[in-house]
Amino acid sequence: MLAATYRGPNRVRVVKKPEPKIEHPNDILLRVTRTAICGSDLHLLHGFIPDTRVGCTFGHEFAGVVDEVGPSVQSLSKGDRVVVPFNIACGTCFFCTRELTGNCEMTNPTSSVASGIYGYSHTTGGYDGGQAEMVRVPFADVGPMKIPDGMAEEEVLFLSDILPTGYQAAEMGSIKPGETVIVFGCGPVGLFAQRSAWLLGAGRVIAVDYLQYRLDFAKSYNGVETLNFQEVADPVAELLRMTDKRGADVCIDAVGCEAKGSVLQSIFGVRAKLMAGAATAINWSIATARKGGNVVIIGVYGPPYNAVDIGTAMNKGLTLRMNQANCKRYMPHLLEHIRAGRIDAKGIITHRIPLAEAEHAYDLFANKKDGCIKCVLVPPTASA
Amino acid sequence: MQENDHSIRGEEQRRRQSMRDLGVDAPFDRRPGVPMEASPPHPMGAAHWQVPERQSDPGNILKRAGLEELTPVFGTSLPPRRLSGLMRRAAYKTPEHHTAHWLTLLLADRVDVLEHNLGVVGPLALGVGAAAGAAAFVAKMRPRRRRWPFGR
Repeated sequence: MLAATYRGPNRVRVVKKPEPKIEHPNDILLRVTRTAICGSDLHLLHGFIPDTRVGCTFGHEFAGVVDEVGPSVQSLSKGDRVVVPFNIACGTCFFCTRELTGNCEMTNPTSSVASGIYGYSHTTGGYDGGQAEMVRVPFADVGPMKIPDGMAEEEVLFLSDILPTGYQAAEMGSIKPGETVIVFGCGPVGLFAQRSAWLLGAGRVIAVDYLQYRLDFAKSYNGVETLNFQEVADPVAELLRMTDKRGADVCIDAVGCEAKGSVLQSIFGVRAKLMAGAATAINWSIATARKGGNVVIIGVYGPPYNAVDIGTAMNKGLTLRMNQANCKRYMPHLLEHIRAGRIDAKGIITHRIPLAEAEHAYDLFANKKDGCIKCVLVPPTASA
Repeated sequence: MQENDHSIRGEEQRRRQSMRDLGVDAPFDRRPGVPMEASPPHPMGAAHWQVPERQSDPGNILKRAGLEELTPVFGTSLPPRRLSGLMRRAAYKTPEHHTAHWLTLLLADRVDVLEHNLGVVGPLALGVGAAAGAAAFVAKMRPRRRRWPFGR
């Protein structure tokens, strides 16, 4: 089968690999029909996530058709169409029973920091990902959600990660009616965080980025105010000016470890890799949140540490909230929003590219070419 | 709906009115993740076990320090091999709250790339150097008893 695999920093190659096998009684094998490149895949691609082995298959956003079921699978059968959350969760551990499936403790033997995740290094369990024709899905009675009849894979594909991640970010901000929300980042997760902030009753949503085409997209897709931080001398001062000098009620970091905007953070965190990426978006969130406000981190940061302005956060009495998205608990609710037309999830797809050309897709997405917002990969066996 | 003092006016209000179903999830009981820890605890999805069955151990899967046995499921892709594999085995003997654990893994990643791109000799030399560097780093980071410089 074809699979998009890691070859070293900044290099992906599509290769032929053996098809996966059932390895646990509750596994299924899924024939992938749609898969997407996530912004967090770029952190893998750029060498920020430890124990990313050459040859591993990327991809944690995918949907497909069940091809084979393990002997203990009860809720799925061959031929079912499903979308799969990126967290691999057992369903019955301490965390899963509290609906924290992103913190499952039964699926990742290599690190306690996260659950197992498809195609996201051996730090998250060493599972091959879904940017392939076939993928093994463990605990099939827990994670996958059947795609309702009449809905296309692309309409629900982003329930696998970026839509629940954006929604959970807004939710962790404890947004109250009329509050002001700043979202750093207008990538796919940032766009869904902005949309979710409106659904949760925000009075004002301000999107921050340095790519004008993404800011323009955010304005038309979400109706938000925008700030291009490369067009102002001091982005934090400008955001404070926009929020009556007091700051926003809620700030959301939807950027992660490769943030631009600080020369020192970029040199030490991104170029020299002396810390786990640049914490610029976190520090700007802390600086532009009002006293007593909420800062939410959903951007991905690798271990072990970052230069975060925690003293300012403490003195301002901020509440910092963060987590991997617990996708499973959000899927039915967000499906309802998609069906009601409140969220046009597939509206952010700008590129559909054959899986065999995944290298080109990564180039477009990583280097922000051709107005790229979101790339979906189409395996050769799937209908276009 | 109560607004705060730097909230919507004019243009923002028009934007809000153009969005469908604004504030539909404003009531906290409409939010699926509130409170963050669901109570009472209950199985997720269609899980029909209390303790999941275990995947068979192929014998070449690394696990973190302090974990007595592999988790019930795990990925089996790309078992550790060659010099990078040795470095990874060493890294997983160090607890993950030690910086050396992560730095050794990152070094192993670079050696892994070299192993795939340059054959055997180059990464061997680099790996020996990297392992020596990592060992020196670990030794330097290890807390040691310091002598009081003023004679006590």
